[in-house]
Amino acid sequence: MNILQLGKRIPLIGREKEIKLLEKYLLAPGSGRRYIYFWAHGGLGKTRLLEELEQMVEKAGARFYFSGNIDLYHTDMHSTSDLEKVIMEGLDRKKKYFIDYRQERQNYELLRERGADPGVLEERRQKLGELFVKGCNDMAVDAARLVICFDTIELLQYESSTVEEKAGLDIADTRVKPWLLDKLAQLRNVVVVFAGRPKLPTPGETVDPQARLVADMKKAFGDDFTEVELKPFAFAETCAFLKHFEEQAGQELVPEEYQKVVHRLTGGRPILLHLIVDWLTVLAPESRTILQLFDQYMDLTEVDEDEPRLEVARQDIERRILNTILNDSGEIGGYLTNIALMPKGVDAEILNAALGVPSEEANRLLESLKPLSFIKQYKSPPGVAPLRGEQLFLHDELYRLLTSQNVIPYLRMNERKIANTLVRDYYRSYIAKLEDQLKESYLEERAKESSSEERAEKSYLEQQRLLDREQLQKLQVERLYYMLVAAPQEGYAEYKRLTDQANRHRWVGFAMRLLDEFLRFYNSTMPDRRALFEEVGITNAKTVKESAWMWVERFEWWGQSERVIKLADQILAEPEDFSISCSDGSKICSNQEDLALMGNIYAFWTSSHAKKSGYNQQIIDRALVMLKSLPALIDCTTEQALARARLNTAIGYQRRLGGMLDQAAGYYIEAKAAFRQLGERLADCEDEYAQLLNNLAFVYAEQGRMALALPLVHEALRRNENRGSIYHTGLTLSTASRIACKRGNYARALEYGEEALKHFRDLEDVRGIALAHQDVALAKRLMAKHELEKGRNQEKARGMLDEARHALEQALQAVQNTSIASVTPELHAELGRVYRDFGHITKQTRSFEESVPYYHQAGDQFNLALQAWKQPEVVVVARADTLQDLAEVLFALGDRTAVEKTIAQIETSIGDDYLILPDQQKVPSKGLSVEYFSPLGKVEMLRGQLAWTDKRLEECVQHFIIAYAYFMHFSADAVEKATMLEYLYNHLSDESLSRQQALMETIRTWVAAHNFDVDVGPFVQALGDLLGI
Amino acid sequence: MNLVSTFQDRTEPIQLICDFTPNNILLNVYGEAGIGKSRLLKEAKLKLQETSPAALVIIVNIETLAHITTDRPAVFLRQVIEQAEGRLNDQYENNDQLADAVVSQLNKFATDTPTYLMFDTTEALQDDVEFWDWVHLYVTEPLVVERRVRQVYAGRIPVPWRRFELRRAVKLLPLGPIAPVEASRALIEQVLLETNPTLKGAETLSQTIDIVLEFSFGHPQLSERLATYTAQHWPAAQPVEQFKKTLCEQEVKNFIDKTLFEGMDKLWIDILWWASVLDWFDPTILQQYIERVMPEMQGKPDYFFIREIARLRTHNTVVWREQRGDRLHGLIRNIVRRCLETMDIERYKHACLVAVETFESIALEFTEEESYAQLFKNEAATYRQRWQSLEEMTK
Repeated sequence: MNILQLGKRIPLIGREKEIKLLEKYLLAPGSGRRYIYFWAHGGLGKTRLLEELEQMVEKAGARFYFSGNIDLYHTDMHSTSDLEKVIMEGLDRKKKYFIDYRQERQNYELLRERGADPGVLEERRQKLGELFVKGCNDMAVDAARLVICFDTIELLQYESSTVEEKAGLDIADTRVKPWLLDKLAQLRNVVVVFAGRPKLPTPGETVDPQARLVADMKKAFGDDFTEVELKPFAFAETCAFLKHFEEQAGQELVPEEYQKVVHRLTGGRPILLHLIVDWLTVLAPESRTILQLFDQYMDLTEVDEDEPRLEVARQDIERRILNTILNDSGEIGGYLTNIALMPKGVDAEILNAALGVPSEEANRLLESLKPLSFIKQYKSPPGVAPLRGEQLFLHDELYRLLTSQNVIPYLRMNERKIANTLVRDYYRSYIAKLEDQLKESYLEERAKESSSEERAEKSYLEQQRLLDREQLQKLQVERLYYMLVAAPQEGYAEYKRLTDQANRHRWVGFAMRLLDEFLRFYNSTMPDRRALFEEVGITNAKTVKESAWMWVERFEWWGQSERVIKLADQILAEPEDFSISCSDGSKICSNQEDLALMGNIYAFWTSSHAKKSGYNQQIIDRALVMLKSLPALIDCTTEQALARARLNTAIGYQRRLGGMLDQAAGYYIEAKAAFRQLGERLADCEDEYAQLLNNLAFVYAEQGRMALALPLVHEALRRNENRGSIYHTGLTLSTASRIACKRGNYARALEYGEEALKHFRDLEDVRGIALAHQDVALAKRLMAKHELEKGRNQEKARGMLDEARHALEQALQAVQNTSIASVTPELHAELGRVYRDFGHITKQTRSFEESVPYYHQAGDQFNLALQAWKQPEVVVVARADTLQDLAEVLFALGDRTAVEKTIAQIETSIGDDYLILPDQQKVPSKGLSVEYFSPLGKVEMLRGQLAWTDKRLEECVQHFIIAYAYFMHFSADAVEKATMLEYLYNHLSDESLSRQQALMETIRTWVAAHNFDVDVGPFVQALGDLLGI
Repeated sequence: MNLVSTFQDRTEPIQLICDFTPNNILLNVYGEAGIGKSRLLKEAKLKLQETSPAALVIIVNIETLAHITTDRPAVFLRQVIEQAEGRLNDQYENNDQLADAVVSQLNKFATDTPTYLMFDTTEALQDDVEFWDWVHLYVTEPLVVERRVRQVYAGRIPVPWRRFELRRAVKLLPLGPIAPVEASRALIEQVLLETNPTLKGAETLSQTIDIVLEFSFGHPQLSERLATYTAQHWPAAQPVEQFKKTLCEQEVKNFIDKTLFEGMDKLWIDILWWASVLDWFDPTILQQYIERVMPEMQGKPDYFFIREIARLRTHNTVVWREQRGDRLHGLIRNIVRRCLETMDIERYKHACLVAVETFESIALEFTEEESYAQLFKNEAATYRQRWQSLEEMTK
């Protein structure tokens, strides 16, 4: 007998009903859909039935397509993205369908690799799901039937943990189960077969996981769903099974007098029968034991099923069969003990690394294992970048049996040793090599210029990097398992570290694989891993609360502000539900250890609120309570320091949006100090730090504090470039462009803007593209304005304005019909400014009449912007600025009434509290948002211009002094101060000396008599100095 | 030496071999090295030839095939034919035909003459499944079917009986140390007196028996050797403790190295000497312990231990017990451990301390997993206690 035939594809024994059902569904007329869930306890032949299905599909004909048997056990199948790919490649081997999906997936992966905006990525990920369904349904039109098949689906039931259940996150579409239920339910002309075993509830799980899975399937698939329990062999089937092997072996294996007891005590479970057969025919141990195991139980052959001794005997037989396999199988037995401790599979290299087996010997061993029924050979399916060649796995039931029945002596010591060795001698070098490769590839790519040849090379490098990263992540997930085994604390820390990394980079698939791996490990009860965690101080409460935090983190990095808020609200409302202790009823935890965690949750909750709805004092108040609960920075743990850094950043961001630039800067500075306190940990959150530097630079620039803004933006730029984050580099370049504009360095601003544009184009990031176009347009408009003011080349200025207009029109076109239309008001406003400046040039160089259409166009754009701002209360400053621009245009058109009306509108929108009314001795209240003073300053400048037109010189200068006071409230370094001086100098310099002297005298007296709440003396002094009076 | 006289307590197994009934046609005797399997076969042969001089008793020593790498069946058949001393014809073209012929001739011969085919030291080819499959298919089973030729297999563990017909027919006979103790004492006394008749009636006869038994643990072959040596050197010229030490150095150690650890390379013999101190181990524990006690072993890969321990199991030198792992076969372990303790107590104490260190260091790896660490702490405490007793004893 060829022993290689043993254990492998044997004729299907029994299962006639199931086969008939499959045939019926497979060959049914029409293009209906059917979903079948075969469930059974371990080792009852589910996989064998699926193998049979594959044969049936093959025989059915060319237009029947089979996905391949997708076994969720393997690392290749742990994310929705993996599954989409495997199903697609399995069904469409000739690559005739799924064209859109393939293209979009390639783009999506490239963009993610380049670090695109999380919101953009999330949108594209959702779109991919839709294209996948479309691809399947397109194919289904031409097909006789699509057949998709999943094995080991019990692993889906490990996806859920307390946190996921409580927070309703187990329905998140990034999880495999909800994805399957959602996407598969949309397919047509399909038979979907699931096979798995029921999972027992884990401690704390209130609903039977199996009942829940079935209920979810019924809900998703409705009447098209069928649930079938696979029963163990009947006695006749057991006999048929044994007969098959006896015929193969040419001899009797289990004598007739033993058949009944063997059937009874193995419970007709094929896996145990297989083990007996393997033992007798392949492993070749001596014979004294295996059948004799049954001798003492001969009297149980006919007893009732509920006889208590029967269960005891079954367990005893099961354990003894396993013992026999390990102990009496010669050399193989010795190795099997170790292979059972490597559930991520073995190949020659792994055996060499784990046990020191020389490769020749390892290959020989692997060959001798292959004939065994409980050995599975696995290769990555088509379309999946294989981690390695063929690997051998034990049947998953055998892993369970061997590690749960006290079969392996010193199990914990041995599994830990093997895990340690694999982590050290196998994974470390592979992972380090891939990490180096990725770094080098990135550096190489950055060095490439933009010739077409080099662009092709860049593209190749990017593709290669995608493959390398995929491999790296799979290896990291595998290694995580062994790290959890080797040292739960270190493994858990690594899980959190990798999850953080995956989330920050929007590697959704990787994040979900990590989560799966962790939950499967943590929820495994045989052996009891939770007990292991408890022993090393990782309590269930700790994992629950940290899991809750990690979900908040995921949503934050995936750019899903609403989900951050929703989940954080749940946690903050009932922290105890998530094992966070809050004894004082303040909903701020009382436990020192939890402070950091709560601080982080508050921080992301605060910034998400800011992103979603802008400034909100109530949110800030709550965040401040949390901030105050954290220890002083000097006394903080690293985690607490990070929470402080994030909270300060979030509050600073809120303040900035609220126009409180001074306060925003203050919180940002606190955040910077806290980040720096992190020491080495700063490297893990460098993206956040760079973003903070960027934000702080932006605030300083707004305040006109360029000396502070510049080094910060440069550092942010350097950090983002070094990290290889194209997206964040683009954002910082945009900030740098704005800063350069404010400094009057328009050429540099243009360079930064164009560079940002290139980055965002690479990322296909529409929002970024619009932003960069706006930067470019602003730089060009200001260059043009500069040219005009200097009285230089007016045609050149006109040309620049034309380019600015073109850039903005492109930006508007880009965002049209997208979900990021929120940027359009800014674009309209800027376009309005361009038209306004066109008007100015035309008026100056040609005629007023010719300029009028431009002013009208400017007015139209400003009105479009004003109408497009959905939440006027959130964008007070931007609206006020635009109204002020509109008033300026109306002024140019000579419509005084409209100007006054618009100005009144601005002041109303900002509020009386901010107003400086010298005649009424009214000054602004304390603690107001400084940003609001800027438009008021501009309003006063406009009033000054109006007064000038009417030749009311004193009044003109008085308005400018009030404007100065507003700008001083806004920022001591406000750039507008210089603009005002220049305006007044230009307009007053032609007046006679005596007129100037009288004017200055009047002004000085007026200033002395009024309160502006700030010292306007330096402005008056500067004006006097300029005029020489 | 008259074997029969010293083998009185193996009467029952000899009887089982010699008793010829159709239901007792295939016997597999097994037991650890030196327990007396080979001797049992020789004894049976003598008895058979004594009662029936024409009887054909063929004993094939399987160990002699171990170094043959090609065509073991051919060499095996040649040995059978040679031992038949011309009573079998060997003119055939291939092994299968020759085997058919041998079987047919043996069956024919057995119709009027007691015919026995015996296989000794079967463990030498324990892993050669292909060889046993061939032997069973072409020789054993055809002979069993006819039920005329008696077959006896002897080895440290039973051969792999994969054919059902044979499994149905085979009788397994485990061979242990001579029991009860009285039987051992009787054997020892007999050898002592045969070797040194002056001991008869001597007051120290009982003491000499105790000495032999202390080191042989009733192992027949070792008992006999030690009894012979003791008889020759008694009364001892040196104090009893010194005599025991010499006895171990001169006899027990040799017996262990040459017989109990027969066929093993020097390195593994050394390992097993050290391993005898451990009550239980597994490849990992043994590795850690050996690396400490034999620093030159550091860096040996796991598979060096995994593979060899698996092999030692098939040779019944190491036995495996559920959940506790491996240990040296009880009798072998007792003999080696006692010998080591007597020859070099300091070394033995050192080994105990290293065991303490080993288990404590394993426990330390799990300090955070307290319940698991406790398992190893308890193990360490056992060895420390043993060391302390020895320390007090040697003070």
